[in-house]
Amino acid sequence: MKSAIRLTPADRNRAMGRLRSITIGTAVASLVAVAGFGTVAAATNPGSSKDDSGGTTAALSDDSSDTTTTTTTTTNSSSLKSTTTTPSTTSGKAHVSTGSS
Amino acid sequence: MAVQRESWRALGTGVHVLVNDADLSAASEAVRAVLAQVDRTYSRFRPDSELSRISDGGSEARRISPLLADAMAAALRAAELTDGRVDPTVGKAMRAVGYDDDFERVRTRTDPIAIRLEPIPGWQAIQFDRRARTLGVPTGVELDLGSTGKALASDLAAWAARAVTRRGGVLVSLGGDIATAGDPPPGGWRILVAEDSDVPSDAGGEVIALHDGAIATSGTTVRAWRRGGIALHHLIDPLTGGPVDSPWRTASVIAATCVDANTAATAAIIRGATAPAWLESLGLAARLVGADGSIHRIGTWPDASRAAGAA
Repeated sequence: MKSAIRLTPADRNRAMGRLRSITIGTAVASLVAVAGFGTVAAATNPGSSKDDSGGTTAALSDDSSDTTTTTTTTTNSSSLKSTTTTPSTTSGKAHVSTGSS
Repeated sequence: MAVQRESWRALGTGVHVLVNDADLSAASEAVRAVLAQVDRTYSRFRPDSELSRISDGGSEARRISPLLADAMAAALRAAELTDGRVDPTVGKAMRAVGYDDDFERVRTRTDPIAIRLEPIPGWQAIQFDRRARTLGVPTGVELDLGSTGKALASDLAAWAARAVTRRGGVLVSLGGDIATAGDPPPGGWRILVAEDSDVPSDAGGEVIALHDGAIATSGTTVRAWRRGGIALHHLIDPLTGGPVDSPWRTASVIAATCVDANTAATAAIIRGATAPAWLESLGLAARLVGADGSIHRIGTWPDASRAAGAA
């Protein structure tokens, strides 16, 4: 039959020290992992901004013209995009009509 | 300064240019220049347009102008994002159902025609290199950029007008395909949502306020005609090559650009019953009118019952 191990105060202090080291090490490793994941995510996600309409520059010109008006189109965006502000109801007289033509 | 406007006809439809706190004549001049260039470049009904010359010139890939490249990119993107429901290779199918001329002449013809329907070739048949600006159209394939082309013209015209006025805001409507640029008037651009873009803006009905972006409407009731007693319209179902039989007669969609709005509106009609869920999944505000006249509002489309005086 085995008897219980008797630990001295010095043994207890050494055990507590090891536990503290493990805890600090785990916390530091977690921080490094989170920072690393964030960096990779930021580098690989295209994201969006107000100017990021996925657009390209369209030249409103023909090859024989010197006059070129450039503007941005959304001919490259990978999805159909909604407006930045929500349309609202109004009771005023309309400026113009939409409809089929 | 109050909103000012100028209206005329071009590209076979009504053109309206509205400015808020900006030079109307400068804006109109810019819009006219864009529309003239669009007409020269990708009109299906001008034999001397760049698109017509490409179609008549065999299947070999050729270098095209920047504007035609943009129009092709918009059309092929619409086809891809709608799983081919909005497809630029419907040109032959359009002719097959009698839409082979300016619409004013198409709708006055009454003589019967023999219609042979077949699935359209599909947008994948097109050889297009955006970077090199080359386009190859296989023999027998006819392009029609009508769906996205008019909307792109609205976008380009609005942006060109805003670029020259350099202040305030601009709204351009091409047959009800409406694009805006710059600052809207206080309370937003007020849009009467009708089934026919020729309905006068003071006719009464559902009016919404648009603060940015664009709105477009597609439908089967306006660009429609009869040949030999058969009712026909211009929205082609790619699967059959004939006018689509849809539970929706009109779809209006609000989006960031007029190209996106028109693409979604046209696709909604062709999608049929699955359109509401599809529009919802894209986060687009839309209003569908059923064949029976019932109104269905999708996403953030405003509730007309909250507006005093709304019909």
